[in-house]
Amino acid sequence: MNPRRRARAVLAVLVLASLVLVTADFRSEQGPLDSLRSMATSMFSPLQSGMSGAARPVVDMFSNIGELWAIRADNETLRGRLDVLSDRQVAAEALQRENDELRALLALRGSTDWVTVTATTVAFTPSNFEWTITIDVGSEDGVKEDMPVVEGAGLVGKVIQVAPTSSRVLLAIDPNFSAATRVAGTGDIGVVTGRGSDLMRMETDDPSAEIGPGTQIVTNNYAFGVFPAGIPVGIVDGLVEGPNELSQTVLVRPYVDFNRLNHVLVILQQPTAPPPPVPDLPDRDLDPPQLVPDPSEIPSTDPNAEPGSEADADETAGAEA
Amino acid sequence: MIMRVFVIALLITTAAAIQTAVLPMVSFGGFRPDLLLLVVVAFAVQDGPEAGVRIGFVAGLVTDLLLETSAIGVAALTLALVGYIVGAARPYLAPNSLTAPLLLGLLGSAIGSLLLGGLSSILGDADTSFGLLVTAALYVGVVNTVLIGFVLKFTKGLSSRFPAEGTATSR
Repeated sequence: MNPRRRARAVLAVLVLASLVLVTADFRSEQGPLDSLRSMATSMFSPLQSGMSGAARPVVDMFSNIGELWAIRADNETLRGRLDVLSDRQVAAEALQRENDELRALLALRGSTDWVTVTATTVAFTPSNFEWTITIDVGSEDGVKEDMPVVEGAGLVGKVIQVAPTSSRVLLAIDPNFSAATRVAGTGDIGVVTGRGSDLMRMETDDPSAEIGPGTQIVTNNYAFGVFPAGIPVGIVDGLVEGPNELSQTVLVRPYVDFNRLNHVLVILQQPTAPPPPVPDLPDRDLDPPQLVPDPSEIPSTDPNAEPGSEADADETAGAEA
Repeated sequence: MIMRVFVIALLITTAAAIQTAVLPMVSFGGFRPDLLLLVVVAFAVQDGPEAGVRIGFVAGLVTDLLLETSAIGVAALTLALVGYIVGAARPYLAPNSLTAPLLLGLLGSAIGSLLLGGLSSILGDADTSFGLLVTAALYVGVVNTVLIGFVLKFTKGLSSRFPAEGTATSR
């Protein structure tokens, strides 16, 4: 028979067989064809199970390789986000620190009648034997030499050099620095001097004064003195020598962290009228006392004072030193 | 001849097992290649319409038995028709063309998939939309075209070793 004709005949037979099968399957609910189907399923299931078990590790491997790229991409994305968040956290911490400092300065400015200008530290001294900072305000802002510089914690130093837009401040820990001070609780007076990296020292005029560790030291104000009274300087850390017949010397730990001076206030003008009386704080209080001038010591370092007065002030400052 | 039948039966059984056990794991977009259809097309390309019809009927019957919802005989009818169409179209294509088997693979697989889905839908066993039918037919056609080269290599070796009766064994 012609192969093409034979193929057609086979096709006709098999199409007919298919249609019979379809019809038979439609007509019977649970007939022999369903049994055949169940048998085929049970015959094939071991083979299918074996193949599935053999293929699954391979398929899983390829699937895992595919997922590996996605995981790598995710990893890179998450690392990028982590870097961004770390940067933001560092920035937020810096902003928080700056915010705290500025709030402290704001509180200090609000608690006194001083006319001040806020300054930012732009440089520290490059020497290991001189403790000064450069701030970003100068004569154009009203800054003059010998003006006191403070921050939220207490006394920072005084201006020693003025340029139009910047100034240099001699820090209170510099050995060339000295200031008239008094013991906050008892009123015993003395002079504090800087000692560089070591603790500051206060030499009292009264050898019998009882100055124990934890005693607060604040600035004192003589007539025409440089510093207004009541600026916290530090707390007594211990006795150095004495008492002898003339004086005794104590170590003073400054309130100000001189390694972290970012924002400071330059006191341009102190009040001419005496502020209301405020009692000194008791001893052994570790918090800095409130910055209020002592009523008995009227501040008088007015930058607009007469030239003669300035000369007197210089003499007083010299006497303090 | 008996050996040929045995090897083809083994091939169809293996293809059915792979189709139901392995290919569902590597389905793409919910579709998977139709290996049994591919075997039928390959044999039809290789051995002509009669072998295509016979092998198509058997492969379709196995498909029917492994399906649950479709009526037995639908896949057998479809694959037998595809085997015949592809085998009958073979003499009209250039004997040594490389693209002819690919074209037959594409068209045969797409038509087979479309027919199977369409018949199942008409007979009420499957609720298949026309869009889904066309998408599935295109996917099966394209994937089977990619795979037909490997299957043809196998069927060519088989046919040269165990030639079919009364048909040309090679083109």
